[in-house]
Amino acid sequence: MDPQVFINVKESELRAKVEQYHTNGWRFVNINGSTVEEGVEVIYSFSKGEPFENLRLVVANGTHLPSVTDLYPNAFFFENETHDLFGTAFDGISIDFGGEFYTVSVPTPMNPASAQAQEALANNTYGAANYGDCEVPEPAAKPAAKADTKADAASAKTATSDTAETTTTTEEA
Amino acid sequence: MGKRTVIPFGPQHPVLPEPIHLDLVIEDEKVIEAIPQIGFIHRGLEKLVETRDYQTYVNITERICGICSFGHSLGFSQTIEILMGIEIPKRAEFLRVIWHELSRIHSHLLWLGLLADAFGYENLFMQCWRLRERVLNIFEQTTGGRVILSACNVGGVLQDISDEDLRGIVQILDGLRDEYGDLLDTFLYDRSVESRLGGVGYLSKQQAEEFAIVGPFARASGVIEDVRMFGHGGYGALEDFEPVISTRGDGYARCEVRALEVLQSIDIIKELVGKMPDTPISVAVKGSPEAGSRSASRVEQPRGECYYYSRGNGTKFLDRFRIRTPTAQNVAGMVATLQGCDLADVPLNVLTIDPCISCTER
Repeated sequence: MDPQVFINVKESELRAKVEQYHTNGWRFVNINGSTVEEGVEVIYSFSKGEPFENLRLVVANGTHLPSVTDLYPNAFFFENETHDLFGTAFDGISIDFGGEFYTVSVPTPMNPASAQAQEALANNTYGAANYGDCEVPEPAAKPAAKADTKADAASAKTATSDTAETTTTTEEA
Repeated sequence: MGKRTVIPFGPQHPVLPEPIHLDLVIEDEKVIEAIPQIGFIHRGLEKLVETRDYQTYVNITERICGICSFGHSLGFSQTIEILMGIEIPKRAEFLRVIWHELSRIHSHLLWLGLLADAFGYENLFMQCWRLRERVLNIFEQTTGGRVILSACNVGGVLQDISDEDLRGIVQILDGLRDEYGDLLDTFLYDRSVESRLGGVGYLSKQQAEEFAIVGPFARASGVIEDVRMFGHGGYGALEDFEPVISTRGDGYARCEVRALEVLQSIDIIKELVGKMPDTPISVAVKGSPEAGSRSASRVEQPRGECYYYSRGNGTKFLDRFRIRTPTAQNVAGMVATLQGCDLADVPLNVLTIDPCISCTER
């Protein structure tokens, strides 16, 4: 069984801690986001043979973390992934995909409370697929709110006798 | 200095069974820079853990990949067992290792076949896949499935293998080993193989450590890194375990490491069959992971170290389950091998790290 070492760190201590692991010859294993009440929990994992440690920090939605790709180049994969799925941005990534690393149908699908998802909701673009460089199609117009449910039911009942009329009724609704 | 051109490589390419895209900056047929892009098939399987209980989710983890499906169910089960403090019976640990090592044999034979096909040695490809078929037959005989085994669950394994069947498996593997000897000689000593792979995609040990690469890709550059040597689970019963290492760091070394690991896996299975304890194969699992509990574990998949993380919330569902696959870890190293290589070597270079994009994008 792998040792279960989870060390809580603050955002301000993160960079220094990672530098310490790098200096001491630890291998970078993973960066992993997950949604918590306070925002996003980010886990950084390192190993040195069998010893295996995880740094854990919790950041608010919309936080920018410092990239560690200058120390561990392969972290670019996980930083871009955490950005696209959870909305936590990393400053100074060696290869920054700017939110287009994964093709996702909604912004930050693993964290609907992220700043990006909230912005998309406010702009009515939540649900518009990420088509990379292609033009993003206009989101479908919302159906108009039904004024009177009883009246609608009555009109639908009348319309059942005539198919053409049913179509007209639906369009009007 | 020649003119620089950007050539898009993938996501559809004859050598790629799965989609990865590379922007290759070329100058005089030499790759100056390669910029990778994945994300075409992200499936969001990790998200499903919020709506599938942990016992059902084992079946989903198996479907992450068609080659290391057993390894993923093993990794997930192991992580939940750590989370809930479950100790599984010894026989279950041994059986898990046997199925996992069989998966490694079948994965490596599949890769060796693809490699042979990529450098135009079709007969060698067919011979590798012919032998791989025997491993799939063992899967079918012992679990009923050839790809999705559904043999592992939280608390142990779902199916036992009788001692008679275990002896039969050893016989099959002995036969496979004899026939594999000829193929091994071809991979290791045939002039055409050496001339095609030698010096291609070189990565030094220092670079391999810098890019934190894992699995046969790392071991081919002389990095001694293999989760199996920590002796977790059934691996702890092995007399001795030394990872297969090569120091050449090129495509030939990656072929050599994987080719020799097939023999190593056969030895592991034979040793464990000889030591198979007579215990139950599972323990009853009740309850749910505690709220806020978290665990992380590693499994040596055929392609390298795979990382699993889970966090409980007091119900039978999890708040989070995470898989970091070996390919995700190896992409940066792969890009490094591409810099400075010939354009004609790009497909072979990509193939030598044995990328699995469906695992990576889960």
